[in-house]
Amino acid sequence: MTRHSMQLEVRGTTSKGRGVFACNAFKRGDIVETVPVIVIPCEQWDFIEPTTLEQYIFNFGPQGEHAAIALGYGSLYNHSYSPNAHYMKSWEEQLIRFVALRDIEEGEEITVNYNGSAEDHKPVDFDVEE
Amino acid sequence: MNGAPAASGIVVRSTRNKGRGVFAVRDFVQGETIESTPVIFIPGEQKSHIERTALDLYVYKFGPEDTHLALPLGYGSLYNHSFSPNADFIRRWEEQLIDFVAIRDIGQGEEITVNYNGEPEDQSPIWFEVTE
Repeated sequence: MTRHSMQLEVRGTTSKGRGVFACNAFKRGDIVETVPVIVIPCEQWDFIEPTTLEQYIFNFGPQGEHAAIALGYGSLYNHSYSPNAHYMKSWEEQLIRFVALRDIEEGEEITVNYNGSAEDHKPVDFDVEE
Repeated sequence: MNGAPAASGIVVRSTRNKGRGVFAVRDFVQGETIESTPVIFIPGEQKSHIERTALDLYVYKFGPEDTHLALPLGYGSLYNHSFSPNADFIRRWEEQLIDFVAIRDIGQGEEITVNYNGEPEDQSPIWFEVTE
């Protein structure tokens, strides 16, 4: 268990590796976490793709043409098709904000839909366990 | 940059001449853990790929023989280097964590720095020009 923000902790989940959990309740619309990113220019993608970082990458940039690694706990939120949070990328600020989509209770795992939009049920590139 | 959570006692913002840095928003006492960061583990055989990307500047050597790499999460990737640092980093291989620990008292508002050589006293040159 590690703690970065006092409001969040990272710990193991039963079936999905590490995950991010709420240490206090969040209201719908609350910012759960604002994280800095490391931007990876698109011309470096070929070197990232064969590495373990590939599964952590966010599309980033005015047209999503670049990639970014989210710091804070931004790389550790698991995917869900019924997520309780979503993320908003700010290219200008080089940040990603994770925002509660509904009220979240203390102890709940915080999840986002990796497709970007909470309702988007397109397959993601791994098997999903809800 | 601003807006990252201050609740944990640290914040990320721009420095005058070293890009982003990590700053104390409260006092820390010598020996106190400032932050314990999870890492993304990168096996040694992927090093040659990482070296050709922006991430090369951020990764730490990791593993029992330092043969692997790790990208620290939290704010672990954003501590700047100093040859007279106020913090040290302790790599915890089994737990896949890096602890950042105050090596002297740190006052609110101070930038938190580590020596990229690993040992706080190690004055060996590093791969960029250092502005203290």
